[in-house]
Amino acid sequence: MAGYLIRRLAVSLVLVIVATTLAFFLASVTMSPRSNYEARNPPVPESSIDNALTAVNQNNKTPVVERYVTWVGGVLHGDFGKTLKGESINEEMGRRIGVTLRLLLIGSIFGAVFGVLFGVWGALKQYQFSDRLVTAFSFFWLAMPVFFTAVLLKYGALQINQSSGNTIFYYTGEATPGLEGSTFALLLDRFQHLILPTLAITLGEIALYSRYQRSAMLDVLGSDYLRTAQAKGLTRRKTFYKHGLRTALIPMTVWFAFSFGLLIVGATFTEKIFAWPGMGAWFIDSINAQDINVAAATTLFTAVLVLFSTFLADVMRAVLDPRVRTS
Amino acid sequence: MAIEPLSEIQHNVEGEAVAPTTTDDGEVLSRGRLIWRRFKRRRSAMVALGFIGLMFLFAFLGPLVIQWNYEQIDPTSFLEPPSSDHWFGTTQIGQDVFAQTLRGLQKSLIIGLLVGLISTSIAAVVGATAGYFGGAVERVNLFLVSLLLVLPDFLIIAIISPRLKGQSWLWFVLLLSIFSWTLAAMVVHSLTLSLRGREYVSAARYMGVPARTVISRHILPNMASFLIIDATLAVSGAILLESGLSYFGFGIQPPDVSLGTLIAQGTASAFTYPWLFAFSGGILVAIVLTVNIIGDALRDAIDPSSKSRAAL
Amino acid sequence: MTSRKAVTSSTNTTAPTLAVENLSVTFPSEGGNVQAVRGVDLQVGRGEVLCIVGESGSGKSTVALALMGLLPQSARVEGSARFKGDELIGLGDRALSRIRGKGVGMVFQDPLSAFTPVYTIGTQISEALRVHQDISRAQAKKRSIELLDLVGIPQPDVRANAFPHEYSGGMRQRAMIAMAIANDPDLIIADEPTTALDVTVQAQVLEVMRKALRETGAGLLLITHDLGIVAGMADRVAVMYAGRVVEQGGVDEVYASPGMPYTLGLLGAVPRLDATAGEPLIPIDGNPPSMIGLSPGCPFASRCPAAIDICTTTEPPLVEYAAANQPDHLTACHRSAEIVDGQIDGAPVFPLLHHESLLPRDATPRDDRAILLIVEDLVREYPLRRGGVFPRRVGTVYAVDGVSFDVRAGEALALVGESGCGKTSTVTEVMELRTPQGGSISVLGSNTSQLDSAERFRIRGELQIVFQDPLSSLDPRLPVGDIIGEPLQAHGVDRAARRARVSELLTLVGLEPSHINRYPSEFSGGQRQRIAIARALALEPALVVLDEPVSALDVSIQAGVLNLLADLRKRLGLAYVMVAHDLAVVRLTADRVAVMYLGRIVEIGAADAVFSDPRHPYTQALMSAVPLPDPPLERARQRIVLVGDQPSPTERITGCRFRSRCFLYTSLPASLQKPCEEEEPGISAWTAESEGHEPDHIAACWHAQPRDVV
Repeated sequence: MAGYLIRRLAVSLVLVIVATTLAFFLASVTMSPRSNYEARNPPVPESSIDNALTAVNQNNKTPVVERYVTWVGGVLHGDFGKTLKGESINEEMGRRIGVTLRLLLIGSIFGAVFGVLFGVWGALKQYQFSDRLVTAFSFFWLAMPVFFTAVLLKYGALQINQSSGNTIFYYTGEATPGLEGSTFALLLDRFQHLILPTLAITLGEIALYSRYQRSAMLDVLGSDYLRTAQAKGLTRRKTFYKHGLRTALIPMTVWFAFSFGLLIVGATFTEKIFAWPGMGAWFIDSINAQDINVAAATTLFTAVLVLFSTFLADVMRAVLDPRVRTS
Repeated sequence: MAIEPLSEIQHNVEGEAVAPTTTDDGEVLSRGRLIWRRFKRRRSAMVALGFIGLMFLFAFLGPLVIQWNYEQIDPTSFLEPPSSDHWFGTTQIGQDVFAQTLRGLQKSLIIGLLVGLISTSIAAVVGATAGYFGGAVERVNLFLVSLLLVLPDFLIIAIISPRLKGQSWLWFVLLLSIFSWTLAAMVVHSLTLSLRGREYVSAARYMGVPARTVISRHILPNMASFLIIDATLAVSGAILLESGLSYFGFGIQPPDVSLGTLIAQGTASAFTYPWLFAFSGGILVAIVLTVNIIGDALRDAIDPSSKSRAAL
Repeated sequence: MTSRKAVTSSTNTTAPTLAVENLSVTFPSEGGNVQAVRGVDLQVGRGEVLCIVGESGSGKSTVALALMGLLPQSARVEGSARFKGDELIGLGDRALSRIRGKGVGMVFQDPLSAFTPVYTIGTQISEALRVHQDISRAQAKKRSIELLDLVGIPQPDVRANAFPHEYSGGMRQRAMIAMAIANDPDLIIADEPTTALDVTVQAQVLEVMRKALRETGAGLLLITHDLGIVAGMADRVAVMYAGRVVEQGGVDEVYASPGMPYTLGLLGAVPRLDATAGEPLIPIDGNPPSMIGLSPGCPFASRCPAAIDICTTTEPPLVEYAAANQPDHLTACHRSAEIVDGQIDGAPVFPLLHHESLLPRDATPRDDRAILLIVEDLVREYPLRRGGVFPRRVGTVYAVDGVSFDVRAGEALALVGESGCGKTSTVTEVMELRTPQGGSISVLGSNTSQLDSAERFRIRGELQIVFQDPLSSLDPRLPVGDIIGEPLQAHGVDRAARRARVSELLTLVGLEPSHINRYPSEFSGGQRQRIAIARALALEPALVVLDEPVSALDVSIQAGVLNLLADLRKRLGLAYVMVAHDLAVVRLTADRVAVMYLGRIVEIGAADAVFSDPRHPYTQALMSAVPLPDPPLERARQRIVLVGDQPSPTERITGCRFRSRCFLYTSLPASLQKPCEEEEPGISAWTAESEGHEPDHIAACWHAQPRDVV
């Protein structure tokens, strides 16, 4: 099993390298940092533009390959370069990574746990009212784009805040800046800031997980080994929990990796709309600002995250499924 | 973009009726009629079908019926809530929201359809060829998909989008199609593999039927059910992707409108004028929802033996 | 090795362990209500073996599941089933689960999915123990190892920690039996326990089952479609058709003098290993009825040659058979009183339409006939690959490892062997008409490695194939006319000529030409196989490859297709290469036989010679394992049961590859064992000629000896 995981890791590494290289070249070709300066009035002399751009390794007059090599050289030393404004990307990244990871962690855990629960419940009560409810719920939230959910939540929060006269829900940022008080007050503040983004990001995840878990569960419910377990003398309920559920969780590990990509995109939207200063929001800003280095750095971050989640999924699969371990 | 578990899709290919399919009147049903009968039985699917039909009518015939067009400015009403004059209200500069919504609906529907069609076609050809001939094509496809999982399509398209400013929206459609086919192609590929092992395919080969005829006569038609379902889901996936990109300004560019850009415009101002974004958003969700319901009902109609049928 | 004496129920006076009365099961379905079981009465006495025999759709498996309450919730079960006096039907889940696994043990047909994949076998057996007995985990573990040892699993303490996918099919079934007897049940219900297994493995598992019955003293309700297994295992038999029991009684009695035409027909249609070569089978016309909306009257009436008016209006009750030799022989037939010795008024109930032998009477000696196919030292290997994006090679499967044979005009060669022997890979290599990885193939005089595409195309017209599974060998989306016409179209025949030929072919195989526009789903299994045969004959080939042509069909349908194949061979002068695992079928239809094991031929020769005097130990074991549908004979047979599992085809073995399971080898002194260990015997290691017999019989064994196996 160790060999299997190490091989997967090696493949992942190759994929990260290829993906990021691709992204860098793509960004270098499609984005134009120079355009930031060109629209200015009074016009900036070209040599100044060149100097400014070269200083941050984003001069389109330098061949792309050369810029790439410089960038990679930096990355291998842990230095991701500079933004167009000349700030260190590393510093900013350090701050932002934490924000994004917090959001992703919440989203994936809540999404997976509740999704699995709903899916299993729906399968157990197939075609009854509760199943219909769960299915309707998942259909609906699968159709809601995350950005629209976020927008609606913001709107709803505004209405509630206004009608109650208090600020119950915060929809900007992670915490109120400069807030002083007890630990409890600080935590509460965080919580109030957290609710809306969490809902925005998890509702879609729960919908996705519950649908697939339901179908995986139904497949298991019809299987022969459940019948064998019952024939041994296990009650229906025991059969279901000990043999059915345990086996039905295996396909979920496969979906975990795939849905993580969707989660990251969802997090990007959520960060931007709720003004959380995370990597996703930064990515969007970088496209608008035509900042190649930032785009490349955030893409690299995304790639590493996805591959890490794939690796995690592989580990989980190996733990849950002996067929992978010993075949 | 919703992708179904592999086992469920393979069910579709293998789930053929064994007993003769006769109705109570002794009429032998062809496969197409049988599928339609099962589809009809799902009330939610019929409602969804009706709704989509209505949406198409609205989107393309609506502008002919109403008095305002989407760019027209009515100087007498800025930021008015819905009224008999302006059914969905007006924007800050006096444009009719209803007309704009229709226009956006047109764009979103067309894009969804085009991308769904193109990406499914590409997926079918590439996947079937990779599955049938194997070797290098197969490995390349596998690699591409892994790559795509690493870099979500949203990110890549967002990066490319600055280049598209000022170009026709058809380039955008192309871009969307390019990134939507890989996953479906993987499934087509594995379906082709399982079909290639089918004895009637071997029999055809052993008769001397050439490879391209085998693919077109035996393999693709037997995958038709999956292709149809995939095309349907690709449509809703494309609409979601397009609106997400357009919302952030990476998709459809002004002066063009799509439902995504409308929502963005509507929320750019404060939130106190819900009619600016509620209608476009609501319609967007409704469309995606109905297309998904239709796709799901199609899957059940084509393969009722699949146990994981939705409860709706 | 003890054989079981048939227990007649008249000597059994204690209350039956299981008493089923008027059991009915109805399922809802898309087309209407399916009455799968319609009023079944059965008894299983203490320590008695009752076999339920029937074909697909008879409802036999449904009976077993209904008794145990294991049917889906939508099924409606009515009637009574008393286990040791307690009523089972209608019992709640909790109460039933106390009986399941303790009073009654169940053994299912084993695909891999009968055991939960995520728990070890030992854990699952321990679970069966701990559900019903108050013992500690350690004690349960110890007992499971004992049980695994009882059923003959080698190294049980190690194997208990293995997962189901690490066991072979036979091993898994033994473990299932171990689990079923864990709590010393009074009744074991086995539903087609050996259907998915090779015949030698089947013999092993049945042996284990007999041992289990001896150990526990339990009764056995065995459900199967195989009349040979019934003959060997049963004390009493119940024949089911269309949801009802149509004949019941002591096994010797029912086999010797069946009183119901269906039973008569079945016994006449089943191929026997000890039959005379070429003796035609007596098929039963028609198909089993659909269980939705059965018409009134006897469900067998439409297929019964003895049917009279009353048969189509009233269903016959199950009553005592008048001409019976024993009192508890029951039949359900209006005319059973007239049936004596398979005849009514002196004429056989199933008239023998086919008087001629199935084998062609071509007197030309073999050596003078044209050679259609020569295979020499054929090798086919598959790399074993694992890994997703960048796969790597982890081993090789030696599927075909040096196979040589030839086929002459007009003769039928059968390749027999069990799963993994390479018989299908061999014919696939022939059909592909490409350069083999090793050795050579010559079809109609042309070496396949020297063919250009035009020649290959031409040869394809002379070489055709019929596959095993009629369901997947016909494209469900094409009408039957197009399917049969496809080879004609590929070879440039125009539309009008195609249509004429297709009609001709449909008539040739016994189908209606007017059905030319129907789809495969509208035909039954046997009819679909006939369509596949018609397709194969379209281009008038010289050689037809048949890959298990009847193994997917019910016994009553099989006979018709086998007769058709033999008939066509005679009429059209075809040659066959038939791949089969069923030796009884081969006995009937083949001129020559090649027995394969692990990629090589171990014995080959004229069918008569090989069957009457098998020499290779594997052939002997194979023949010994095939059950005969004749209870007294079957019980009296000396059985050879092989030890252990087949080695993996990825292993390379020095010396004779059969050594690990060879009973002959183990009986030899060390000096004689040496050649078996060191040198692999060539195919002519033993020849019949050397002993003065007819030359066409050779075997790959250093110590080949005659043995009585049938």
